[in-house]
Amino acid sequence: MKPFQLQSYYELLEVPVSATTEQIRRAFERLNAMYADDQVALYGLVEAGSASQLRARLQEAMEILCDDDLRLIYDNDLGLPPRVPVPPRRDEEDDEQSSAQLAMNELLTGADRALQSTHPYVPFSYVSSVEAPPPPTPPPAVVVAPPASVPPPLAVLPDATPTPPPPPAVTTSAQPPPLPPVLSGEDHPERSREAAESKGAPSPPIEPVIAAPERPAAPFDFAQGEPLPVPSAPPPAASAPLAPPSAPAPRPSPAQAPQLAEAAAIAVAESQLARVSAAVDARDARASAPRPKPPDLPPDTEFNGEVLRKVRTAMGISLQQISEKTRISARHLEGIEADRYAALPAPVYLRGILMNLARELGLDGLKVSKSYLQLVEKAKG
Amino acid sequence: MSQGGEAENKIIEFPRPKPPRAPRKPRVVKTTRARRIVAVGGGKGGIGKSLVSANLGIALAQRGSSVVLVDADLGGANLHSCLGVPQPQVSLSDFIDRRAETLEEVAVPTGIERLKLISGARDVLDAANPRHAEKQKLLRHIRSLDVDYVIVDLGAGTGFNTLDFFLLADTGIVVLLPEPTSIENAYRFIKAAFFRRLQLMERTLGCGELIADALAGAPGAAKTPFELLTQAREKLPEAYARLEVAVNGFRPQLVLNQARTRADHELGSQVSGAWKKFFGLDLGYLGAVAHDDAAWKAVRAIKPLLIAEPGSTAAAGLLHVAENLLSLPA
Repeated sequence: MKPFQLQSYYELLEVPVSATTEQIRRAFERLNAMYADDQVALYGLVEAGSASQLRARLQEAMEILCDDDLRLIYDNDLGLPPRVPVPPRRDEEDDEQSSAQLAMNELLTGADRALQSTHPYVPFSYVSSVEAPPPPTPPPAVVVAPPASVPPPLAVLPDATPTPPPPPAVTTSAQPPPLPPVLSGEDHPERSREAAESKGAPSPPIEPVIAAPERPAAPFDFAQGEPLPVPSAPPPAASAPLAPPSAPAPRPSPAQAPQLAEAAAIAVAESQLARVSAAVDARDARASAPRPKPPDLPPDTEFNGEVLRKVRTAMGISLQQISEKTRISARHLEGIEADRYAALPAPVYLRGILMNLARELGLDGLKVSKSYLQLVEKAKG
Repeated sequence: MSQGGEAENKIIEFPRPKPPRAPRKPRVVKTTRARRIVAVGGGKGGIGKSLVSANLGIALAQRGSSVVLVDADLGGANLHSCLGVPQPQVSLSDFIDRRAETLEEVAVPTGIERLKLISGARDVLDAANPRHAEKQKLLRHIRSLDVDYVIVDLGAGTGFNTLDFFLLADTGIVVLLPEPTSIENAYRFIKAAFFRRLQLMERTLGCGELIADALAGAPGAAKTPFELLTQAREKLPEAYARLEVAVNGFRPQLVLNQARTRADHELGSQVSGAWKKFFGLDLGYLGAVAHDDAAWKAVRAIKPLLIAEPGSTAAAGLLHVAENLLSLPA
């Protein structure tokens, strides 16, 4: 029982969570045409206006899911494991996907099922997670307990059980090796092993997803195309600090559980974002000069549009530049700086925009988005 | 001599393993598939409810199931004509008026193996509106008919009698044409059936007032199933869980008749998708039956389509619908 107002973006567009941008676009076009006002299938079903509401939501879903950064944040909120970017096809011979890729798709299908069957989707409220839905059951493959020596999977969702302290957020200034938003073998040892076994291969050297082609004699290799955003060997240490297996986790009292869960959720989201921004930074580092330092702000600054505008002008960046860099439309950026809350997109979308904008301004994305969204909430009453 | 004797023995022994096969088939169907009641409605007249009912009955009987067709269009029964049999001498009226003890007594053969018909044809004015007790008795007896499938052909409209027969069924089929009028009536029929279902379960659900308001169209009352659930969650949290189960158990099946174009064929899934999008409820789609002169010819010849024109595209569509019906979870 989920009318469209309560459906997740994936459910709205009737695509699996593993869908490609192209599939999402096609689904949007099909559904947008299907729910046009003059469609005979809608005759007598709903009052006038309902169809346009639905179309507006389809549009929103498409916009967010077709933006890699926003989709990452959204997925994270749904509790989905990070997606594997599907390499563009170059040849029919590339049809044979790597086993790890197949395994990942399986995992995502599992997540789909878990999402559809158990996850009561409730529209987001970023500010309070007390009323938020319980975390969805992670896909079965993730539930399988890994061997004791292996750190728990990254994608496991926070719940009320004792949670390890949130990981130290990776700062962009540290410039760590760019981590792609893929699951490394360590994250899902079971998966990789299963996949390897299904191919009859000897059991793992664990390889990163989208590893080098398995057939060395393949006529097409990745060097021919664009370099894939995968490091040759993801440092195993990368996932270790996220969940130290032997660290004595302080047993929280049950009352603390929601706060801890929230903190952990935020930490996970943040680390995801840090990965993305690290990747972006690494890409930009070669081309652009180091960013000017943002002006010092008191710690309790309320980030309204005016403050953001001042920071931006102090740094000598134009709206146009930010728009080009972040692919956020200038209209939205202007709206944010002018505090035109009513004209701004839905909070999910806005949050992503604010995170991106803050990153450009050298500000703490989480602080900025939280503060700004509070203002939006207040304005709504 | 001895060789000839051996040959004789072989011939005699050969057919022995064969006989059990033929009768076994229906029994397998019977035990694995619990007997199922299928009701065919759709709100609007002339959309092919009787055609679908009769031919689904034939298709299921041909596959080895025992089937009884019940013509519950009490005001305008003509299912016998769709089957190509003359108006039976006995009908539902005899059962309702207690001239017949059981429904089996008023079920007449149709000339098709394993398929029987209970006609509703009787030119008595009040037969179309049986009293409540009579209706309950009829529903009870339909449920206890000893066959694999009961197919109930409903009349047009969304009267309570029609809806109650529809809701009695394990599978409710809604027939529609690719026309706005028919689609509008189909939606109206499904909505009415939905609220009626909840009303019938009112006592166990404990949210009668909300449902009554919704049925009466009172100001502020729920207009859609989802609004009703939302109201129930706010006002009657303890009834909510049961209500949700009742709501999710409602899953009619569409059959699109007289499809001419590709777009027509897709309309069934579009209606199903729109219903799900806007109301969050499932609506199955069993398939489309093509617009086909063969159907018209069969009606003119007073013969069932599957018998008169088994090779036609319309017949193929009906067989496909029957297949999908069989594959539904029990």
